[in-house]
Amino acid sequence: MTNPFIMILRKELKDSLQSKWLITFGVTFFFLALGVPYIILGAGGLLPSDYPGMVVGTLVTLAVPLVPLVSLAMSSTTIAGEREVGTMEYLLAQPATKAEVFFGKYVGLVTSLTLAMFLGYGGAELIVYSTNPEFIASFIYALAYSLLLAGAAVGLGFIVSVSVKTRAAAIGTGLFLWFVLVVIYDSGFLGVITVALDADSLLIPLTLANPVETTRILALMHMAESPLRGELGPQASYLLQNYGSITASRILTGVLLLWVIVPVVISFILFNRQDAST
Amino acid sequence: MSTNIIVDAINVTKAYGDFKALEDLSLQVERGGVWALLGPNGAGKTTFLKCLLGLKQFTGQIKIDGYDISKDPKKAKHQIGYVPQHPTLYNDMTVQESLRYFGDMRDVKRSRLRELLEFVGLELWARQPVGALSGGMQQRLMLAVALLSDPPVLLLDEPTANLDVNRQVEFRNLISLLVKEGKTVVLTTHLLGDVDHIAEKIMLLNKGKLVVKSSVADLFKQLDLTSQMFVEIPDTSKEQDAISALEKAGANDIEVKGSWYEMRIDPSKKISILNNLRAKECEITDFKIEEPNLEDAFKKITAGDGN
Repeated sequence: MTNPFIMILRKELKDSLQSKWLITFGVTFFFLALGVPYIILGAGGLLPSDYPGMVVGTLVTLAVPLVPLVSLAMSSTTIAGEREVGTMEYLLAQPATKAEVFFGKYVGLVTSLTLAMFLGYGGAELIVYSTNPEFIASFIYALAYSLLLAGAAVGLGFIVSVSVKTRAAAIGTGLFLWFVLVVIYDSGFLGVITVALDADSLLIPLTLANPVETTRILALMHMAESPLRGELGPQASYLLQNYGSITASRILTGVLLLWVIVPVVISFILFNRQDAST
Repeated sequence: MSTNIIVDAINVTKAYGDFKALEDLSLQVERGGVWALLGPNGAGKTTFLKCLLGLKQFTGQIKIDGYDISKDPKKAKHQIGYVPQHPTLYNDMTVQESLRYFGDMRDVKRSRLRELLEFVGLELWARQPVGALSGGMQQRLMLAVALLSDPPVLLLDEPTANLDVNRQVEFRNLISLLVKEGKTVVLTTHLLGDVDHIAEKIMLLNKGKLVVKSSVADLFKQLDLTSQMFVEIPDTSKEQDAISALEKAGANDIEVKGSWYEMRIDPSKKISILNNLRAKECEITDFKIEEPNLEDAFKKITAGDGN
């Protein structure tokens, strides 16, 4: 018998890969990773030798809002959408456990996002490697952090998806969450809070409380050679000063891993406690 | 497992806050035949069906063919084929893909898929997307999916509620064939006509409790439901003879309306009534009988409950 986990994973993967969202995402990533100027400058023979390093700097800045947007949009609707039309109830009436259904969907979605990012980044990496192998490590780091961020955002999306009843409410809540994590945080929220409360000590906890910020700082700290090195901001500077580059990176990576694991565990506990039928 | 009890529910309670949709419900379904789960809206029939499928959490115990739905859900669900009220397959999958997808979950051979497509008459639509099928076709496809692993129990939630008259007849015929093969079918319905047509046994729920479990014939006897008989005897001079013949044959509440005699009778006494009238030389020109139906039984049981 084919394990229901595998069946559900395969279907989720197939559905995601057929969705226009994911194709657009992969193509966008390719161009983000490579940069349109690369094509123009390269064609004219005017490409500077440190161009890939410059691109990595801008890549993280561009990937940070995009990865959670796509991940939240896709994951927040996956369970809520199936519940709304009744297919989730029917699936759970089959000889499959709740864990097989839940993790089949989760792993399927994360795999499809990983594939899209691998193809996007990977294609660009091949081109970069062929012109300047020196910067390949930075690209790999950027890809790894993007994958962790995608994992965290999918977990958060699953919490939304098991908590609401309709697809519309799920996508609305998912986009609101993206707005808070990306737009609100990016618009000086941290500065306002710390100044208003006169509590600089809140800066780091508030940063770590957001997987998007955690990823952004982690990725930027790895760009020692990037021209954007001077724009790390107060959080990264504080971490580098107090812990040094290696320990700070480990702390941030650990926090990001927790952001991947904890939301999935929470969403599964919620899903497992609920009646499968409304 | 081969005991005669195929569905065994013991002290099942399902509560939503203070409201108990099912309260300490115990019932056993014996193997074979069609069992109708009846009850007014809110009686708990769909809730009970979903507890049988492990779709709702409850207190108590439910075993399907010996397997506990809470402790051994995969094996228990292997014994069940489920047809929900509304078709809930993936619209973008084809008929064939749907059968393969759910068939692989149940370790079903490919040849079984072809058999089932033929059984439900969808072989010509195998490559069509589910979303392109009519409601009746989708319902038949759901039945095919439910039958994939040849489960001993079929749970059908209001199976004919969304079908037109012709499709209802087709669907009932399919169910009759399955019962002949030895399946146990448990269906919920609010359409008492369904029960009259296909179910031999009923379980009546009211306010989350089992009120009646019986064969349809036994239920009428238990409730003392009688048939209504009408006999036309044009010769008015025979009125006294006719009344005495009817009373002797066991007719009750006899009323004479012109040439028509209206009475309540035990359904088994129809022939003796006609014979008695003939023996008294009362010429019968016409007669009709209205058998008791489940609607009468239902009204009688739930009378006074405010339903």
